[in-house]
Amino acid sequence: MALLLCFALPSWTIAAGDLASDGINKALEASPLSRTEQAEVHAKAVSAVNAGVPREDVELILSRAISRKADAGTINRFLDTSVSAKKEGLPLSPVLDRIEQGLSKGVPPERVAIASERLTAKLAEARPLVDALIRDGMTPKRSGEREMAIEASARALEKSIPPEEIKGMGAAVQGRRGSLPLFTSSVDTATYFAGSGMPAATASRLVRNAVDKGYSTRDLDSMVKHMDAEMKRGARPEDAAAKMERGNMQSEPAMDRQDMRRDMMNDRSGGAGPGMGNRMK
Amino acid sequence: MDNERDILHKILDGDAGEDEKTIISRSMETDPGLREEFTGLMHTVRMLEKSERREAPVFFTAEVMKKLPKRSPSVLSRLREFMFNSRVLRWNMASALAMAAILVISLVSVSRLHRAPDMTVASAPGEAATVRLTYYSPQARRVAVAGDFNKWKTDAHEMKGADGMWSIDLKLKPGVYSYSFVVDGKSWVPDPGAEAYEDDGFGSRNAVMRVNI
Repeated sequence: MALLLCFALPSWTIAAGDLASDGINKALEASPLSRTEQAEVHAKAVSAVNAGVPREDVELILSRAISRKADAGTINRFLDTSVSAKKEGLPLSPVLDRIEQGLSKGVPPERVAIASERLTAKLAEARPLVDALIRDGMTPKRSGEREMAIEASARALEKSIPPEEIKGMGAAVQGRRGSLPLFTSSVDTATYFAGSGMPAATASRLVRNAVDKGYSTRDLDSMVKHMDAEMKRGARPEDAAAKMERGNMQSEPAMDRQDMRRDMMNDRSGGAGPGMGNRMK
Repeated sequence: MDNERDILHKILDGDAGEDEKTIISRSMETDPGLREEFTGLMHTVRMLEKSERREAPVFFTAEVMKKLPKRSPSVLSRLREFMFNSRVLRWNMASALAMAAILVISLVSVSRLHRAPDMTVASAPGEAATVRLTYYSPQARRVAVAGDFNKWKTDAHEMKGADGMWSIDLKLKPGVYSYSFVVDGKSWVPDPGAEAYEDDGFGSRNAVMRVNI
């Protein structure tokens, strides 16, 4: 029996490797890479699959990179970044998504590689920030909430929003006994404002104030739309921010007061965060 | 004999001719029974002529008709009667206002059905919800939607176009999704009607939608 297993196991491994290789071979067949480069990429791709990167994603990245005329070095960078994120226990989906999206949109492969490497580094930096919030009581209630919060924080760090500001937004959400999704939404909103040209400090202050006032995820989305509308009218980001601070901050948020009081009661009872109670049924 | 009785009644009604009167006279000479019958009838007629005539009550005819045995009409005549007979509609202000309110509500509901529906159709928690995306672009020859739900494939979800309005129904599980429209295979356009937007990490932006969260 033991002898049988000894002979069977390698063949199973080879079979698995063959399965992984099949799609990868097909992707490499049409490439202009040299034989040596093909072999190198092939080996990296197979080890990525073996490390746990989904085969479908590896094949997709290869085929898109090849169609965008990426060189072997850049393709290897994609695979290395994916493996690195996987091995470090970082959320893998945002890294793969960044690569696949960039290549699909026709962004130069070199730029995609830089963007995905930067994101991976920021994910590593964001993870302890989010884990600290979770330790302090902002427990994820559904699977994926932690990963989404880490991704949002990583994107914020990419936009030069300092870790202290992210912690500040976390504290504001905690102060309202808000949830991890609300934290994610807050950070995303600040990232969007910063990405639109608003100074990072202004962006995070605006969002912190909004959260302090009891803004829900939907209200934060409204702020994004409002900002968008102001920018389309030709307003500068700082002016749009000032207007929002003067206007929205002085009045009640978009949702009505009864919804806010109800959501705040949900918060205090330890249920879903502001604005989430009604939607998370 | 029956003929003679008929003539007797005709004489009493004043409808008998001279020949008929002659026949009865001759018959009464030889038939005392006939003469006695005629006399009795004459007395009855004179008594009735002398008695007071009264007008029939207004509903007399209707009451009599009611008591008559009813004939069941044919299906065709019943149908004709149902379709074409005039009817009297009784109404009051309260019922008229109620009907008007029902009509207005129905019209509003029907008009809402034809508007672009909300982005998500509620479904059981955890199950995939149907999301409708729409985009107006009369110049476009082909529009697709690409996002993190389909690994940014530009040919996986082609939208259907009619008169410049492009639409697609997507089945998505609860979550937050980034997406963009791809026009004619080359232009990436964030949905103008999106709930929110995000930076795509490459200096552009994506639309963001939340499904059943």
